[in-house]
Amino acid sequence: MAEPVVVTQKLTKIFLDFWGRKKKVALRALDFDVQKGEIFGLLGPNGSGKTTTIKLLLGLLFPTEGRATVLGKSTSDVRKNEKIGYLPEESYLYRFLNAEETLDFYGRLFDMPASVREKRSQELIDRVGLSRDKKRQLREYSKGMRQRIGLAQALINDPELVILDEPTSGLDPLGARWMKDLIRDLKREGKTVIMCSHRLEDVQDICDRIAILHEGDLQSYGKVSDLLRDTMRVEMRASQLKITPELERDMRELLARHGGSLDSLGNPTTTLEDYFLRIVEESKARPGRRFLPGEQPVTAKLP
Amino acid sequence: MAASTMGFLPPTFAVLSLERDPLTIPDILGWQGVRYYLLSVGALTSLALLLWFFSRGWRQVSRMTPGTRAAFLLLTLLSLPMIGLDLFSLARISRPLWPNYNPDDITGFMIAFTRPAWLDNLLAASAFASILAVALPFLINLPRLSGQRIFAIAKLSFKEAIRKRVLYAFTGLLLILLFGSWFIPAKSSDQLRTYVTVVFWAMTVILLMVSALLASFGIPGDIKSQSLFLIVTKPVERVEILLGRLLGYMSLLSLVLLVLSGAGLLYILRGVSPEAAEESLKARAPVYGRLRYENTSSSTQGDNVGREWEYRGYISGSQGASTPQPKAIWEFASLPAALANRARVTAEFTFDIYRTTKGYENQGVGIGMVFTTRNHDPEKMRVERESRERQGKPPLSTEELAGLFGYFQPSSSITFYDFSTGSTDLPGALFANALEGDSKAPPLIVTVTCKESTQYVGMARYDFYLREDDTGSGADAVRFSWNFLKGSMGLWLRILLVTTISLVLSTYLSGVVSLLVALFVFMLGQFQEFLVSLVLGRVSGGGPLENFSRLITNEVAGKQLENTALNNVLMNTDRMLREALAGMLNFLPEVKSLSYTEYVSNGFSIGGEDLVSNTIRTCAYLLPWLLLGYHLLREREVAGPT
Repeated sequence: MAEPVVVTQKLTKIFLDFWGRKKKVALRALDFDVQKGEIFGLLGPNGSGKTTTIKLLLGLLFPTEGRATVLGKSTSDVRKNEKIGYLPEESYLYRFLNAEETLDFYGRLFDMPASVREKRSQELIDRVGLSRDKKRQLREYSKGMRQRIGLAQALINDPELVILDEPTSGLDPLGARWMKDLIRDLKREGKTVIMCSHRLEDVQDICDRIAILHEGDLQSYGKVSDLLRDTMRVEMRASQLKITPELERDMRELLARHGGSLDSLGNPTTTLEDYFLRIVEESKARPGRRFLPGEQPVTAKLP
Repeated sequence: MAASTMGFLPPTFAVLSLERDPLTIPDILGWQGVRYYLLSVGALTSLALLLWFFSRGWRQVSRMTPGTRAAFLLLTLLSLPMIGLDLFSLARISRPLWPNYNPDDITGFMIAFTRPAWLDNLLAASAFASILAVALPFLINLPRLSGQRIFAIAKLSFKEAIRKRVLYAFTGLLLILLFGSWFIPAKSSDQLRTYVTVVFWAMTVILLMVSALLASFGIPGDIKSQSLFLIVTKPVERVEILLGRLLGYMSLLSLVLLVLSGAGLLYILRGVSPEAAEESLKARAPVYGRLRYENTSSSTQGDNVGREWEYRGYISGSQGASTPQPKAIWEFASLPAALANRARVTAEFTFDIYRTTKGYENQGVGIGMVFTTRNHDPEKMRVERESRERQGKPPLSTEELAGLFGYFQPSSSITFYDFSTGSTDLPGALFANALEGDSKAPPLIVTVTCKESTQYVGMARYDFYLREDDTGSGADAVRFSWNFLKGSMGLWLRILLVTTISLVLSTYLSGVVSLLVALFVFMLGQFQEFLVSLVLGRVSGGGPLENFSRLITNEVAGKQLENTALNNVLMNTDRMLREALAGMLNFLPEVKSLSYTEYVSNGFSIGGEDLVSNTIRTCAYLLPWLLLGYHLLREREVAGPT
């Protein structure tokens, strides 16, 4: 049986004003757990309590009621942070530092010896693809580059639990794909990942389990595959077929014999993300292709 | 100042500018000093414990581990006497409304040394327990603190200040140094004094402003930009953030101070006029005696010539054979042994002239000075002189008289001028004689008389001194430079004070508010002398409300207010404010005593012990602030609603 890495019990957060009056109930009696080695997604619209939950787990906020444990320790115990990596939504790194200095600084906060720090920094810089830009101050970085170095700092301590707040926010599709692949790699390395995101397709792609929050309440919680299964419908896939009226008629008759009905029949579409990535890959394969205004785009003929 | 009114000012934070000797290290580290400190800090920590319990902090007790909880509850129990004293002291603020209230009895908040010693000791123990109770979480976490983390945050703060181009602020000082002399007219003998004052003033303003700005906006800036999120989500104790920031800013500011002091010193030394060098390019190490007067209207204050603001006492010239000659007498209770080994020892004086006749233009006033040791016997000296006369031998030289009979009178008469320092050289043999024997009598007595019957000579205790430093060694510039750097150390202590207070406040308040509050606290420390006079009821026109009423009703300050109900309410409120202010005085930083500009500019050596004692007191003063910062940062949520 998997061991829980995060457990919350009746976790509640109420923000008060200066006079101690209730200003906002951000989270109401939240109960959930995250198991070791899984990718857990927190979903919800803006203001639903996702980021508040993450901040409570990290000790950035204190619970009004209830409690939470992370890696078996109270959220107020800073020792839990030794095994946590955190990537916030925005890059909150010091922009006057360069990539190397940034990782060295965060490595020191983990009391890592200089030799380990240096080795780990170089590995991570290579892993996030910033080797050529490691001497540039972060103020010169693009959003995507800052997100990459942010992820590197989250991994500097080789954490057991990685908490990612909107990891793909603001990234181009290429960056988003890279981030998703990396999250999958983390899972493969045995790490537990908690992420919250607005991009439902990302969550669907990579999360094992999810919790959906709305106005501070837990609305739905479980395995993605279980939650999304529509038992009222059946999906069939076939290849080597052409859609003809005869095929449609035969299908209707077949399904009617089994008590069902045909809702639609057509060719599946790929995702826009896959299509975009394919176009970019093609562009990389044939550099110099340009579309000028008013001209007909040239259809790519791949070898 | 009467001892009873000084009682409420503990030496840890007390006001140096009041008339008393600077505190020595035994004053501070002795039991009396430590007890004052414990009571002052304990007053705050016990009050904090009380407020914490009231604000439902007791709920956190249940979350403590059993061992911590037991220790905390025991310490809180032991703090109860101090909490009781807090409540009693707070109630005392309403004393003006009590029957038989005596407005002159200002004993102040918490520190009233009319209690028996055993009770004070008991309260000090209770205060210590309350300090431990408040510091308990910090003490438990102490072994977890990591030098590497603190150093990392310090290095970050250092880099941040440099890369954000904070150092540009210091170029302003460069302009003052480059062009200052165009705008600073000075009498040639005052040149050095003026330059030193200007350089220290400029360094003080720039460095204190920069330190307050840096420290006030560091942590709030991190919270605003949310960079702090990434630090507190690492295994970093919050106090490490505070200490790291403090260390980083202080390293930077210390480096800047060192460079600016070097540049300032070069600027000062590059063109000193001979007159200014003679006056101030020194680091005199004065040895002071005690002053009394003879044959004047008061033996402690001399004659009064009617100068209201003058702290000096005056002696007149001889008024005829029938009237005894007025004298000012300095008695030196102890002398440094090194003086006996010198060929010559310099005595310096800065007296004041009060003229009853115009006298002659550009001519000073003549005075007589006689130096006698405790071994001086006038009878023996007379016998010796007569014997030599009888034998036809030449009279003994002044040096021989000093060595053999402990008597020295300068051969030429001494003339001095207003606003300048006079000096006379004494034979070292006089001091060898003075230091002989173990009599309880003062080893050296200096008698000063005025030679002109129509003039008065004014003097105070510190107007006459012997120079312990060797004036003949020719190392005045070196000694002055060293003294200048010691003066910079005083500025460093003020920078430490401002940086720490700003930083602590910024753990809870926004940057702008922290800056303003820190500067306000600093200014209160600067004007402590005025606040003391306000507490003692010595400000003309009464307290703030009474003065405000006078302003509105156009009443002059000297006139007693009419006995109306409104005026009584105003005056009683003022008295209550005085009581509260008397309590506050214990907690204000002592800023003025950390300024050594006057010492350096006038060429007086800054005492090493004074510097060490000020360093100890400043650090002791800042410890409760750091404890406050620790709790503020620990208890605060660094994130807000999203």
